[in-house]
Amino acid sequence: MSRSTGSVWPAQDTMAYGRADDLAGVRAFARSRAAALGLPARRVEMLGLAVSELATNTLQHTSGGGRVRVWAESGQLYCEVVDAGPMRSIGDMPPASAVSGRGLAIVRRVADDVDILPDSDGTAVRMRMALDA
Amino acid sequence: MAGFEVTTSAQANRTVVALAGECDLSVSGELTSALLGALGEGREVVVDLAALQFLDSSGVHGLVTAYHAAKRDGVPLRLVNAGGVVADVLDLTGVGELLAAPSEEPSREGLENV
Repeated sequence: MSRSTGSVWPAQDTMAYGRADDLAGVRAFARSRAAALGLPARRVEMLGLAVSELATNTLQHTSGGGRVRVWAESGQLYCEVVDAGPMRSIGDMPPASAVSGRGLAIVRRVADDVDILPDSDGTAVRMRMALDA
Repeated sequence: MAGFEVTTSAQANRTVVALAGECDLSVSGELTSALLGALGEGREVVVDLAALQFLDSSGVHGLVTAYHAAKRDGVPLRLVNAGGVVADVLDLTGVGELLAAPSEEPSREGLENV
């Protein structure tokens, strides 16, 4: 059976966003869920950064919003951001003097692993971070 | 709300831009305007990050935009007092080094001559 993220996500694990003013709330939600699931404090802050970058990416490159889900499985924390944008690739960190292009590169540096997956609602970017690291 | 605040103050020979709260896409335009405005004064600009709790790539975009304006106009611009996740972002992106104070740059030759 294929997984339809839109219908099976438990409400307490999920938060929707649609405007730049929602970003602080998205960070607070992801940090709080990740801390409750056992991610070390230092990595909680970095996860907040990465999820903010992904949600910002949605707001800058799609006409709608998105949703964030945070969960733990087999000693790993997962944080997934779904939006209506197309499949995307994550490039290298641009030079320090480059004006833009850092958002997804930051995500790749923060997470242990990043998967980009097709979703019934568009595209899911799924970060993984080890809970005991 | 990100609760972002910019306070610009003129000192004898420099302009200090103190940032507080969280800087993301919702307020990064405000950051860029404040930095470009401060650079327009024509004196050294010091950006104090002591009370800044969050900075993402939108904010880094503002800092790099200011870096290019400062370079073009020959006005010194530097960041001070970054901590926590703000310091991590500046480190990850290399922008902390780009906008470090001259005295914070490693200068082995200078040290050997002391």
